Amino acid sequence: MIVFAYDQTFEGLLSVIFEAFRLKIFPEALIGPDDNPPLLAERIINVETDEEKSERVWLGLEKKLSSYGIRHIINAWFTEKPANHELIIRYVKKIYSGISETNFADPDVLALKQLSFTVGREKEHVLQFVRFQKTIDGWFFAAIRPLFNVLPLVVHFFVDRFADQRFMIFDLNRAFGLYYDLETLHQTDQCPPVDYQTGRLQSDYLAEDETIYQEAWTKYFESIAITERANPRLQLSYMPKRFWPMLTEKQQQFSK
Amino acid sequence: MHRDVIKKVEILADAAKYDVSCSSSGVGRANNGGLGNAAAWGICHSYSADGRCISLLKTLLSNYCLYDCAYCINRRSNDIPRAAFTSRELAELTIEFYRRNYIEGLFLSSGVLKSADYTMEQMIGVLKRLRNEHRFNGYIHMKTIPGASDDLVRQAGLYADRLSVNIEIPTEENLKKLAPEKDHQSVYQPIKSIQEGIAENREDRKKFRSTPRFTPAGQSTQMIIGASDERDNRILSLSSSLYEGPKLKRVYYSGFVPVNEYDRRLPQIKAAPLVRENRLYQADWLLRFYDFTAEEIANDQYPDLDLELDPKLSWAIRHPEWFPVDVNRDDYQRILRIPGVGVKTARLIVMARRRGRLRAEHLTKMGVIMKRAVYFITCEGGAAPSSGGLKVGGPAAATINELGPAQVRNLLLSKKKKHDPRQLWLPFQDAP
Repeated sequence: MIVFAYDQTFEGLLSVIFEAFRLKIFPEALIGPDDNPPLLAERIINVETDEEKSERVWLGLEKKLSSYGIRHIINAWFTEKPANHELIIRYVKKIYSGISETNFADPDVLALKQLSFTVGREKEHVLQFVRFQKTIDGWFFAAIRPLFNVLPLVVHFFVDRFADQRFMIFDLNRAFGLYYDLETLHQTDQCPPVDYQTGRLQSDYLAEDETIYQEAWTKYFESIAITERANPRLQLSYMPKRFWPMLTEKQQQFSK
Repeated sequence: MHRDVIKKVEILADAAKYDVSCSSSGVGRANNGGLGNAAAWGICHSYSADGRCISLLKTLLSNYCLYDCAYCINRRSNDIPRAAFTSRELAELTIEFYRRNYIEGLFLSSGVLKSADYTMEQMIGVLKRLRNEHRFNGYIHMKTIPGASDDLVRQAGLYADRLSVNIEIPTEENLKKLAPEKDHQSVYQPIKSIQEGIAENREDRKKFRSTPRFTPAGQSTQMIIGASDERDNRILSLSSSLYEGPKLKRVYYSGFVPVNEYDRRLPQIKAAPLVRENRLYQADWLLRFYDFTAEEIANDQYPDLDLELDPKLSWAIRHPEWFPVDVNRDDYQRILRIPGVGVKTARLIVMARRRGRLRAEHLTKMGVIMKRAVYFITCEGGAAPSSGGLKVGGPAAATINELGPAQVRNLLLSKKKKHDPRQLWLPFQDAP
């Protein structure tokens, strides 16, 4: 088994692709710098991350692929799973061997597209289910626990939408957040004091009228449902249970 | 915000809940200095206990109403709690909900106060406050009050992304019976006025790109299903003419929820006709995305939709001469007609088959629902993909032409309970 070791950055992955094409050897597995090699590794190739090489690969891919193909690769990268990074390499190899990116009968082409859709769904879930709480200092805070590292992919949507409000979205699973100060985004690993399960700020950090709006929203959520048409299965299928603890309207502290 | 507003939210959201539409799609707009933008694909921020999407703050401005429509919970003669927002309260509530990412914008409707025009003016007041004072760029959907003057409709269109006028009852004689204060003229006049506004705006924008947009997300309407005796073919041909004539973006169907049970003009039903409503939506999708005509789906011979099978499937069973469709050869329009193949899958098939012949296993992976499609297609590796190792429905899965429509129907309807082979199962005889 041929194994490539790299620094587990996206540029590193592109450098791996460059080296693979240069040596005409393709990795069957990828490992990080500190990982133990797999049991049956017969050859381990160390790849140094090189900006020039990765740039060349990326420009090449941008020429070769449609914007969809590029998006699929980026989305697959943000799943943070080694198996999916290996899929990217197989995909790129296939693209350069003449297989079209629309050949969905090919297992790798189809798998990458479907993987990308999974990430797209998670991005959409963040846009849907982020719930900001106004802090006592007048800025807005939201905590999320997404399956993939999608925060960098969606934050620009919030920056455009809430251009006139300072806010922070914090990824509790990955322990980093992005703070928008009306001008630029700052990355931070400082999380305000929150409950890990519910993402709720401690009550003395909340703005004065914050609980009124939370209560109004909860009451709205309950009033808008038509009792005669209750359909919990449908509700669950659109709004999976894993999001419920963090949704203001589902936390029940204001329920009747 | 004062706590009293919470009570108003409860009353007025409850009064607005029978309006089906809550979509926020159809218009993309970047934030041009201020708060908010609009996502063209629409975003649902929550789902209520009945499984419906909550995208907008859907509320009435007031649930006081002059009218006495039999099907409506807010009718004048009902003794229910009444409330009204001031424009300031509602604008503030919308903004604060929006800032917390609870909603995409506002859906504003109202009971009829004093007169149709007076009510419209009050509603437009809220929109103006949001757009001008708060510089709100989010989505706004406003209901047009039947009988409102053209001037006010035109004015509303400059602030709202979508306008809608509810037809409610598909035929005029039934509308007159259930809602004596309304007639079709008062409903169709605003629809026409909005349509003209959109057409003029399109021309103006060709000359000056900077002309403000007029209801960029178009208009929609809603019909109540089951409160009166219209058959499905009547309803669908009306929908179809609304899509073709005034170019409506959506027609919503609202299964009649038995409110006002004391009113003898209404049918006495126990529960809303949910299955029928669902079938109508499916038929509606066929009209909009699958190039079906209303006449094909329901006609004088089959005036009602089949409640057991979806409309596409029941059309296919009535038309075996169309099948089998060869997925490797036939054009997109024909592939779209296969039951179990949707728009996305049909496009995938057309793209993928340029690169190689498609087999049954490819189709399954691309999202074809083989359970239904298997009777209607041929592909590489056999006349019907049953030879590709797929067992469907019965022992001899062949196309509809060999099996005959009646048997296909039986196969699709029979739901055998499958036993998990790993589970020990003892065939106990029921005691005599």
